[in-house]
Parts: sequence; C-alpha cells; structure tokens
Amino acid sequence: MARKTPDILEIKGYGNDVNIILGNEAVFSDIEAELIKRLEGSNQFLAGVEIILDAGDRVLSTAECEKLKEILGSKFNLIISAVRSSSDKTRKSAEEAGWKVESPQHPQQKKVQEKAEPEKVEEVKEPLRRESDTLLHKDTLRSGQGIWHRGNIVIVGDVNPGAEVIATGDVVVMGKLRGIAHAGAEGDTRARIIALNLRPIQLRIAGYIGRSPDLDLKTDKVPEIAQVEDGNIVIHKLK
Amino acid sequence: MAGRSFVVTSGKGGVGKTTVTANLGTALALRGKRVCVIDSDIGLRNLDVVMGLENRIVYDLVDVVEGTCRPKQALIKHKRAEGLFLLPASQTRNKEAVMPDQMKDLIAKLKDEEQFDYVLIDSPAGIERGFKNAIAGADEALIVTTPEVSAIRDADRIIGLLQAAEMYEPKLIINRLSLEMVKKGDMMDQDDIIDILAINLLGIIPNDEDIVVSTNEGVPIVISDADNSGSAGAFRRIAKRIEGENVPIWGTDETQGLMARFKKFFGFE
Repeated sequence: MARKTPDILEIKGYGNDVNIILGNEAVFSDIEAELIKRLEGSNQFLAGVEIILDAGDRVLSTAECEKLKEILGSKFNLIISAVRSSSDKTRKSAEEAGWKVESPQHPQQKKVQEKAEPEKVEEVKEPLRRESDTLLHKDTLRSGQGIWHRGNIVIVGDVNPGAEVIATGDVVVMGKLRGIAHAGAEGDTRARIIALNLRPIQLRIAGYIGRSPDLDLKTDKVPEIAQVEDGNIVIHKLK
Repeated sequence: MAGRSFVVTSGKGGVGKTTVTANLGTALALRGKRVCVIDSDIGLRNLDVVMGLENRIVYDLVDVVEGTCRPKQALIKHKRAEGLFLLPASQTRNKEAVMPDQMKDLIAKLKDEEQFDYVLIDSPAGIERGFKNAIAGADEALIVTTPEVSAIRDADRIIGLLQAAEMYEPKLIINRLSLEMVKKGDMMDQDDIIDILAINLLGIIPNDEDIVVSTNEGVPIVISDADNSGSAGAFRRIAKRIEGENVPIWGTDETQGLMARFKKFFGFE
C-alpha cells in the first residue's frame, strides 16, 4: 500500500492514542536523533496515553527495535502498546523486542474498538500507589512550562494559563490554578485536583475532561477540590 | 561604570517593542547618556525607519558579526539626539546569519570599546533563534505587553524562557493602556496584568494617537513632544526609573490626578 510517510518521523495524536510514524526512506540514525529531540521537546507529556509505533513499510531489524525500545522505554519512560507494520520482517523484529504487533489499520477503526471498552482500561490500571512519591515544585509555572510526575504533585505558586501539570496521582496547587491540570493521568479516577484558587482552562482526571465555563462567573476565592463523581468532574469547596 | 544592556522583548508581535526601544533609547540619550539601540530583527528591520535613519545605513549587524566592518563603521549617529546610535539589522539576510555567542561578544565590545552606557536590543517577535540572539548579550530584560490576553499570555511564556536563560528579574512595561476603557471595565488594568505575570512594573505607556504620527515621521515622540502627560512623558519617566530615580508610575499615583481630570471633563465634579 503506497501512502505518504514523513521525511523522518511524525508524532500524531488520534483520539486517545498517539502514533509515532516512522518515515519509510529515513536513515535510522536520523530517526533516533529526531525522536530524542521531539520527545525532549514534549516534556514527557505523553504520560498515560497509548503509544503506537507505526513503522509503515519500513523494515526494522531486531537491533533497531531494541534501540527504539531503549530510547522510548528507558530514556523517556514511555510504553508502546503496539507496533504497526506492513512488513513481516519488522513485525518479527518487534515481537522479538517484546512488543505487540498489528497490521496496518486505519486509526478510525481503532478508535471505535476502544470506545466499546473504556471502563475496562480504568479497572486494569487501578489500584495505583497514590500515597507514594510526591513532587514539590516551589515556583510559578508559566505559559509553555509544565511538570509531569509519576505520583502526586504539589505546586507552591501559580499555574498560569498555557501551563500544564500532569500527575498520575493528585495535583495540589498552593496558588491560582489557571492552566491545565491532569490528575490520575494513568487512569486513576480517584485522583483529585485541589487549588487555593481553582480557575483552570481545563481539568482532567483520568479519562474525564472538564473545561471552564465560557462565561467567567466565579468570583469567590476559596480553596476548592475537583474529583470524579458519577462520571463527571465535580468541584466542591474544600473543607 | 560598565554599561548596561537591555533586551526589549514580548513574544507577541505588534505590541510596541520597536517604539519602546526607539523612545526609551532616545530618552536616555537626551539625559546625556551614550546609548546604542540594536535592531536584532534580521530580515524584518524597522527600528531604522521608526528612528528616521533608514537612508544612512551602509553596514549592518550581520556585517559586524561577520567581520566585514568594525562596529564603529556600522553605528549610525542620530541627528537630533546627541550620544544616540543605531546598529541596524540586515534586511537581506535571516536570523540564522547570527549566533547567540556572536551577539554576546558584540554587545560586550559595544560596552567596553565604544563606551556605551546603555545598549538596548530590540527583539523580534517569536521565541526562536531571533529571540535567542536578542537575549544572548543582554544583562536585563524589559517585557513589553499590551492589556490583551494574547499579549499577556505570550509575555508569560517569555518570562519563563528568560528564567530558563537565567534572567530572573525582567521588568514590565505595559503599553497602550487606555484609562478610559479601564474605567469602564472594558480593559484589563495594571493590577490584572501583574496578577498573572508577577514581575515588577517599570512603567505604563498610555494609548496615544500621536505615537502613530511620530512613528510615521521617523521622529521619536520623546523628541517631538515636550508635554509630560502623554506617552512621551511616560517614556521619560521610564528612562528616569532605569537610571535609578524614584518617580511615580502613571496609573498609580498619577491616575488619581488623571481620574479627577476625566471626571471634570465629563462634568461629574
């Protein structure tokens, strides 16, 4: 199947998963370098999402697969859910590297399958050790900055619009939360977001997303807590 | 005393970086200082136009860093402000023609060999190479923003990037604030802006139609306008503050006076 592939590689999001698409013609060392560059640039915000490595028609050797695994797994802590390839040889190499393989498939089809079983994913991820590993960040996060952490995050400072905080556990902001916060990034629906002044652009807990009202009605500045209740993100005053 | 170098930057385009650079540089020169303003927007130069020096350009920034000429040869002396010099950008090259380290060396040279008290670097919009070049040789940063969410968002991003480059105390200049609109609640005021950006305010420049005229004529408004109530006065006060004088910021102390004037004007008092 002839289709357009990127010059070196491309990282694209389809619904809930992210595809890393490799160029058919690119030199492998370029792919390595570009991948590291791109992932460093993305500040590890790919946490908790399924990553599919789309090798296209490219033939990857076992050594090359191991190398990619090294970069993705050890360096950036990312988990590849599947490798997609039209080449038997690549599929074999990927299997040897311990990856699940699938034949090329339209991303749309994949999405439909996923929709049928969203809750199962959450069940599998639980329980997480929520009490462990809390990261304390003592500065305001400005637009374009972000923190990712496996565990809880406490920020002493503000989270400005355009900044992101992503934790697999709880997010606590000792200041104004005006950017984006994602708690339970790996699927923990019991994760919570707490802020002294909760005025986020978007709140995400596990797979749930809540956005700010289009009209800014809130004037009270009391500490609040956001959590998932009956499938919705609900905000209460913190007592 | 060694000279000080400032980068004038904003992230977003069109907020008035070039106008601020031109007028602040001129205001400092009119106070008797040796000032060099550098246009680091290679490929899209316009500081020369705003300052009315376009027709005198022979050499430019790229010529200097490439060693085609000495810094002195590229510096253009301003005709109406003693001690004010412009180092223009090249119009035919692009940002990649200069490296951050070259900018660092150049500005050090301007301060040491050319004895400038102040070097103001007009940064291009954006956060790419041009921005990195502009901040490379700067000791301090001046962030220009207008009272608009988009400009403030970009300013916030820039402050973060400056911190990453170990410039921790940028100062804020709010441009084009309309007191009338703030009063009606149609525009953010300085408190709203500082609430988000959380940096020190260096000055507020009122929205002033005369700026358009001065820019088009190529005469900085601090030269053409002796009145201290408009933007020219605001620039002069910022220059004083940079030199360490303690002068009230338009919009705080003076707002009271202006407010009263507005009220009088509309017949409330």
